[in-house]
Amino acid sequence: MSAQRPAAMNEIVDIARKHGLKVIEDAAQAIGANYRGRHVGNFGDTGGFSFHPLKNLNVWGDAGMIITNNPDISVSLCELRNQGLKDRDTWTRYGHNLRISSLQALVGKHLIKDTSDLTERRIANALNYDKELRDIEEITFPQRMIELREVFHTYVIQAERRDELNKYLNEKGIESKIHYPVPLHLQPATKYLGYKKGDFPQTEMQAERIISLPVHPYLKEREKKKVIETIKEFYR
Amino acid sequence: MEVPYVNIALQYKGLEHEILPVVKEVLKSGSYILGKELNRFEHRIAGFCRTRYAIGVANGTDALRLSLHALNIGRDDEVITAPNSFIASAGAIAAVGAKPVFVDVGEDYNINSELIENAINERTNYRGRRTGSLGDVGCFSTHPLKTLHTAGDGGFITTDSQEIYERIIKLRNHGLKNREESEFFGYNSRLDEIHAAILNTQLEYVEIWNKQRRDIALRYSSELSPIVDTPEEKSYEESSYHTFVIQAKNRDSLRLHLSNMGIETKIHYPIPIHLQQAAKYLGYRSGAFPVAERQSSQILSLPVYPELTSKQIEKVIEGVTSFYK
Repeated sequence: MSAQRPAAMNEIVDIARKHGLKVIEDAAQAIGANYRGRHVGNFGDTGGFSFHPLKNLNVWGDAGMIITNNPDISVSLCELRNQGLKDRDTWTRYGHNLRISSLQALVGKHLIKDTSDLTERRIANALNYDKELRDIEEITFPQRMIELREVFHTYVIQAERRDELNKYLNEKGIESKIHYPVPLHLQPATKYLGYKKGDFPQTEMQAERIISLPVHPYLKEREKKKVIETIKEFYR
Repeated sequence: MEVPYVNIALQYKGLEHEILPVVKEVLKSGSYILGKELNRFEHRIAGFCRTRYAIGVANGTDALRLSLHALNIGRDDEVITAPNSFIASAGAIAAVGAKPVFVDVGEDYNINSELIENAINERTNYRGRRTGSLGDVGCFSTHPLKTLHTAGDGGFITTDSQEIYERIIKLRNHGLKNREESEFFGYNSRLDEIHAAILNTQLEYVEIWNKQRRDIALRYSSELSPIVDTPEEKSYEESSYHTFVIQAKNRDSLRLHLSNMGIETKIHYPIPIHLQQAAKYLGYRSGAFPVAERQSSQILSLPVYPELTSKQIEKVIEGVTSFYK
């Protein structure tokens, strides 16, 4: 799953079932995203979400959530997040300390009601960018599809002369980011896995072209206009 | 309950006027993770613990897990620990793929250092210590029940080694050495700014709280030592009395008697780790650690916290005394 856009989940789950595999959905940034009307995280065995401060539904620190429709997995996860404890004195398995604090749960609970509205505003900002940037030849973005509800945790375009554009935007006071410039298989941490440059040409090509524009729900009209004008100016 | 075992809400009430403004400052700043409150806490707690470095992490279990990882302890390693602690100690060892090896405890409830050498072989790493250049690490929890605590899970690691410090700083944040590059696979185990801010406030009081706990503990000791086993303090020790653990004959009846009088007590812990279902695969049997097992049937933790009133303290003493009359 990319930053907000559901992957072809039905197809992926079909492949997994055929081979007897499990599916864990990484829906970290995708609260509110749908694929054919079904909320992400419901396709696989479990779905993981992040409530990091930058996420669409966020709390005021690190936190996250797992959803599942399987009662056995649910019981396991409840034990695993609390040291593997079934009750105060019985330890059934090795677990972890991964509890969401009451304080953060309270914040999350309070913000749930705003999530739909905030997401709608992100979507509106994104579709506005789509419309305004469509005619710039140097810019491309994925085709929007009717069966997907994208929630635009980030708004990512591919751009010619990306690094120059990024610099230009930053100079003009527009904070753009790259998510992410170095693909996982080329990180120092994965060196031991033996991948090399060229193994994943599409990923590597995109890593050199992608740029994320501000799309958060609190963008003002003049800020949105400025982003669009500045990009147009750059390619003029 | 006339004498609850802990009363964290009461402690918060006393500090509310200090905690709420700092939490509000954090929330207004928009910086909630790896910000200046954490930085300040790490500097201050390092000073408090007289260590060169301190690193805030998500909780005390992670403090152990990240430390083990930073010391390159993993599969094929054995780590010596005690069977009478909270399960998190052995759990952290298992989480990095190593094997917990238990050594029985002494009368002071700590690992019996005289027995450690028997358990050492070429795969062994003694918890928290490793020979060589890397040096020691200290692991702390700031869970709500701890003396220095926050309003949720939290913890920190102390070390004098720059090498370990730098490794743990990356380990707690996905192994990232900068925004773009991950040097090794790590964890997400950061101490939130809100928690760091609360800890910064509490840090001012820790010495006072510890003294108040000690005063209560010493009072219990002097009144109860003729009747039950009370903790002994050696001349070179100064215990912080996070718990006050006695050993008592007919422990379970005593507990019931106290409970009937409205005095809440706890047992830390009734089932030793080596006899837990999770540790079954290690193959220990009942009788393997006689001291820890005997203690687990006799120990009882009495309420000990600064907010206890003299009336409540007297009630506890009276409760224990009256049972043995």
